[in-house]
Amino acid sequence: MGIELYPIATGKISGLIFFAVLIILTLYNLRSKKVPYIRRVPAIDAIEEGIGRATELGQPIFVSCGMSPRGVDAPTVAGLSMLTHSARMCARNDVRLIAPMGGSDQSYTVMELARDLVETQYQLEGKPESFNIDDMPFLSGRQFAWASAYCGMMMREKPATNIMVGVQYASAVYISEVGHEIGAMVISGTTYLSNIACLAASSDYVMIGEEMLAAGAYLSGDAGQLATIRTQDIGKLIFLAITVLGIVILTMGSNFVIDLLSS
Amino acid sequence: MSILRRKEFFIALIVIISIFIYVPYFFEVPQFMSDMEIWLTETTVVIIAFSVWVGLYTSTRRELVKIQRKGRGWYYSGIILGLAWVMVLSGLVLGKEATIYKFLQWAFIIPGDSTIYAILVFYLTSAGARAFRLKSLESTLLTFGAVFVLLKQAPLGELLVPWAGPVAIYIQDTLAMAATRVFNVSLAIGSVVLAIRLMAGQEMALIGLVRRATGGD
Repeated sequence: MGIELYPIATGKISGLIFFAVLIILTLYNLRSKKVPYIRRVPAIDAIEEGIGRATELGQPIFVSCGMSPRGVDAPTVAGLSMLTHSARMCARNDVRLIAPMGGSDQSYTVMELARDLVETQYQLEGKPESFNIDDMPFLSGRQFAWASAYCGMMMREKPATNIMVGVQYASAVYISEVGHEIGAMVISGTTYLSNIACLAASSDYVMIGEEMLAAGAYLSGDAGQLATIRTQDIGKLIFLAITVLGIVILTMGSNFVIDLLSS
Repeated sequence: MSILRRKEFFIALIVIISIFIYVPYFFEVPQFMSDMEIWLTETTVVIIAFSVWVGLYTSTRRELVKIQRKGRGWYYSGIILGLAWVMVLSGLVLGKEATIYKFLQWAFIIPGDSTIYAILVFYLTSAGARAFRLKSLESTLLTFGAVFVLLKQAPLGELLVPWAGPVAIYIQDTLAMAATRVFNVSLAIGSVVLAIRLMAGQEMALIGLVRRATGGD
């Protein structure tokens, strides 16, 4: 009877190594709390400006954590982080927060999570009575029905700011343009590449790709979390080095890097 | 029950579930681990199916409140409520192949979706018109790039400016493609780091939940 081994699945060794490197680096950075230089991200900084604007104008703000078509995935977590931060700021400044939920079949679960997070922030700020569950209505599980209802609510409530971060598809342009028409400051962020150009054109501030994913750490101000942003930069440097190496070696006629990455 | 209120409980739960999801992806594992992965995935589907009813309940409650208050446009709430429940009941009682269910689908939902999707082009045009104002170096580059791509795509565009086509192809296949790959790589790394932060119980969204569960400690 020999020892039964469970080998690494074919074609996934390089992925496993890279994943392991990222885990080690992230956990090391979390513990070291060595905060690297982090450039200011205008779109994230603009959230406070947007909530300040709402306070001065006495108008509500709209926050969306996206359509969440794949449930609680990375962009949705980023959207929830933004919603949590906005809820805390709104509770502190007595600004009405409206967060229309929906957009996909999976958004039902995200809705419950979002409501819990927002209610928690109101409790932590000592204003549980200010939380109104009717300001986080579920509008529809269909993308365009949700977007239409969202726009209708914006037309009626005239928010000072509209923050939309998370998974956003075509309907995001619809919402951000309506936001622009009613004079709201529009802050958006998505990881859906085809939509970024449209959102960049229609929003006042836009978070692009990884900026959005790092927003939770950026807003937390926690040294450990901020230090993990360094992991992303190291990861990118590794990829850059592999890319340059691949170009040089492939030009010389060797498939070494291709074979390495496909192992 | 006190263990259910501890932060460590939530983090341990996340770590254990993550192991059952990640390990079968990378390794050839015993059957029970693969079964566990499938079971966890299927459980998520069941939870989502139940949460649909939560959505229906909150939507109904919201529309009923609007009807009760007789606010502006309250009758629209009545229409939405009526149609939603007719659809739910016809689907449950008669099945998805029933004429009334199909009628609601084809006569209301699909035309509504298509109409709103078509309206998007006007919003895109107005957003594009604002973005293409030559206010800075970036917007100037964007505008020139867009003009070449437009000339390639528009009818007669290439006939009027024959060299616009190759320039547009170069912009799309070389410059835009390089940017797309950089974007995708940074996004993938960002997602992994976010997942690790979540597993370590550090992400703000999770901390919000934990604080609630542990009573603010």
